[in-house]
Amino acid sequence: MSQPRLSARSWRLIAALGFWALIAVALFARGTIGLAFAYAAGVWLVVFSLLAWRRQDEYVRAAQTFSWIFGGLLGLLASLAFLPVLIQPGVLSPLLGWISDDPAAAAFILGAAWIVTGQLMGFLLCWVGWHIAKR
Amino acid sequence: MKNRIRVLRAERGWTQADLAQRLDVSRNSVNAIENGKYDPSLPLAFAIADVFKMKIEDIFQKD
Repeated sequence: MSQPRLSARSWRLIAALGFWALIAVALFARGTIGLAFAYAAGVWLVVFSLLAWRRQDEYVRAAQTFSWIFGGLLGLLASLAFLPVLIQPGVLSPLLGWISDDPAAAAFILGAAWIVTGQLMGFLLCWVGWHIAKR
Repeated sequence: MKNRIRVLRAERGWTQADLAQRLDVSRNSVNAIENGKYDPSLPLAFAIADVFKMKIEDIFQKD
């Protein structure tokens, strides 16, 4: 008897909800336990994103590949171009203490998050553009 | 690349959703292919030909 297969959308939802739930726990717990939850969140995201990718048809895969390559790249470059904003005095310093007690670690995390956010924004813009263009 | 999918689908009384289900793809894929906005891969083109019981070259033509 064949088992019902979840749609790509369902897998994506599971990936996102689980990821953010684990990240929330990691931020709440902090320390070594928080780090373990953060790693678990990363693994969760990768595993369920791969399951979603496998269920997608080629049209959606093409949209995602295009968006990650071009949108992700443009977002990465844009985030690097605006990186000097981060190092302006007082711009994001209130966040540093909240992220970590170690200023170097906090700055590193903030820098990484800045770049990833840029990539995600670029991806989303390209992804929306692709779907509008292909309608 | 031009194709006759819309006509073939209409002849059989299928909706885009019906065809998408037979091909195990999304309805958006069928819509994009029908409108010539997306060229399917060779495996998907073969699957489309199988669904209509026709040859690929009878469905897809060069622009």
